[in-house]
Amino acid sequence: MSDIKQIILGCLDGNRRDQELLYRRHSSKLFAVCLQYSGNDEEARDILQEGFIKIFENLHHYKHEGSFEGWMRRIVVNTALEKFRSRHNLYRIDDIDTITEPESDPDNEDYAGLEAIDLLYIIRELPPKYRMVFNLYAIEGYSHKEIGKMLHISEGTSKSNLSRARIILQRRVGSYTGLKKKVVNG
Amino acid sequence: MADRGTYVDIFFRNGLKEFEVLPPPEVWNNIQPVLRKKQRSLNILRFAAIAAIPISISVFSFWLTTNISKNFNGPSISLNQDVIPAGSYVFKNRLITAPKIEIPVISNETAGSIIINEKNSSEQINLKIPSSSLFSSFLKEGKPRKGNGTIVARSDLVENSSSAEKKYLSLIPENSLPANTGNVVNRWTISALASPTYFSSTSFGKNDASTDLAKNEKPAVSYAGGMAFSYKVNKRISIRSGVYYSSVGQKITGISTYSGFRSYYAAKGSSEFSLQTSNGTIVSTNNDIFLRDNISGRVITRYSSDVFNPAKADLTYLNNSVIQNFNYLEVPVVFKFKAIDSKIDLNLIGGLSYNMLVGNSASTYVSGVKYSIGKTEGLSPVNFSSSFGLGFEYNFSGKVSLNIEPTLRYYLTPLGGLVGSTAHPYSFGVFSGLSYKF
Repeated sequence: MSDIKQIILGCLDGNRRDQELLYRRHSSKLFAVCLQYSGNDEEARDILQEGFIKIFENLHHYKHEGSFEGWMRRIVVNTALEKFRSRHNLYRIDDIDTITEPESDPDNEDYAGLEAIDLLYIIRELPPKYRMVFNLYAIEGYSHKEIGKMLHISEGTSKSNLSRARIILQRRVGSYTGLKKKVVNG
Repeated sequence: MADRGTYVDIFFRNGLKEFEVLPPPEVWNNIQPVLRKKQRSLNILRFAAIAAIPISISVFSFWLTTNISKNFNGPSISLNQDVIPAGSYVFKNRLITAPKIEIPVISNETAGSIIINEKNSSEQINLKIPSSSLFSSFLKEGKPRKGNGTIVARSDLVENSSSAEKKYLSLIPENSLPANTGNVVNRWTISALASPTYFSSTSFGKNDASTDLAKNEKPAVSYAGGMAFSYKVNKRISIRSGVYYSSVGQKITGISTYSGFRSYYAAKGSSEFSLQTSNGTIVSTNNDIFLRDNISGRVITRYSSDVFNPAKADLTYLNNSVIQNFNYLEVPVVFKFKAIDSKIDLNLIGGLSYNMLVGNSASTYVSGVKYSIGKTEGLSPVNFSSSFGLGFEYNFSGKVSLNIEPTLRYYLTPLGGLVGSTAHPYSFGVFSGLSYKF
């Protein structure tokens, strides 16, 4: 029996040591996901807390098929979605809105200098609705149809939000990289 | 554009792939007590479930032993014909005064059926003792006794006996059995019953409005209980009435509730929020609460999303649902038909109830703390419900019994509702309690 399977069985039996072990092993990665989906640290902590309680409550539903980490991640993302739906109203954006082209060409941008923490900050600066759509599409790999159902918006709105998120991200990456260079070069 | 976009996606996806951040320690400190609490509840439920199995098996086995198994392996008595002179006789610890007649007497006990050898005849009559519990008790102790301990009259004993048993009884002197029970018949019963109930509602016909509203209304914790008096009309039928208190409710989902709205209320005057439900309209009376519908347009307010944003106004988010409660005083009139009269009686129950609304509330809960929102308007002050169920009555003695009654209740009239709404609530509960006969 694999190590994680033993821990899961221990958690199902209510073994506190296994519960803590499961949390210690996976909380860092899942907290990063929570930070990515939330606007502030407090909200991220709430999502992680609620997410882990759901994980423990629903462990008996895990069929040991597929990635356990992926299964936990889906629960945490869904928790973030619930929080988002309860806190924010989504405004429908017309699909025919003109999308401004980025001022800089991303092909020529120097992305190499950015670290994961920089990317996190850039994502978190996005307006909530853009951040949700970008995370769900670009990071989690959901289609616009699926995102539309999750956020109660149309496919077109999801596409539009993604385009706007990408534009903002490209701009921010550019300015962030420039700022970093200035700091490094003095 | 698409390529650039894809590049951004890949850049962020890869950049954040292995990213980890250690969460603050208080997160685990907050999770632990929740898990322990749930574990405790789970343990209690497990214990109750495990305990219920042997208890159920024991009760069922006991019932089988006392009511059925005798059919197969019960004691049997062989009766031989004899001539009994006039005088007094002891028959199973009972004094019998008889004229000189020929009656069957008990000669020994053997396995098998009871056999009566009639004089001058080789005819044998098989008596299956357990075919009548009255006859069985009569043979055992000389008194025809019901499952609940009541002694019945000879006529009842004869009426409830098989033809073979009747033949035997016809040979027993009449004065050896009571013409009537001699005991006071316990016609009145007082009962105390209570039950948690599952409350929901259903819409008939093509009432889209109430159907749509009902989609986001889930059952909430409900209960009912009270005292009742029963009058036994005859040995099968009794009528019951009393006073019950019931609290029924439902959870309306998809409604975000926030606190801290008081300052905005003070500044802008009236702040009524109306929330439409299938049972009526909840009107807010607590001016500190802000409501927002995340699904459809059930919340009617001047503070719509285009003029007021609770997140920007720094209101405190409470919950994503509203609990709607109704409290009733009920006067039921219920008929009970005793289908099986044994150690555990089985009753068929049906009747009507007149329900008076004595209170209603709407609230939301956060970590066990109740936040009052308001009240439901448009409720009928009275309504009628019908009930159907089964009643299992286990007699501890002739006086006291345990009652378990799975009951389905259907409200014949809606509790209230919107114009055109025909939502009829129903509830299911397993009432349990004790009864005392007098």
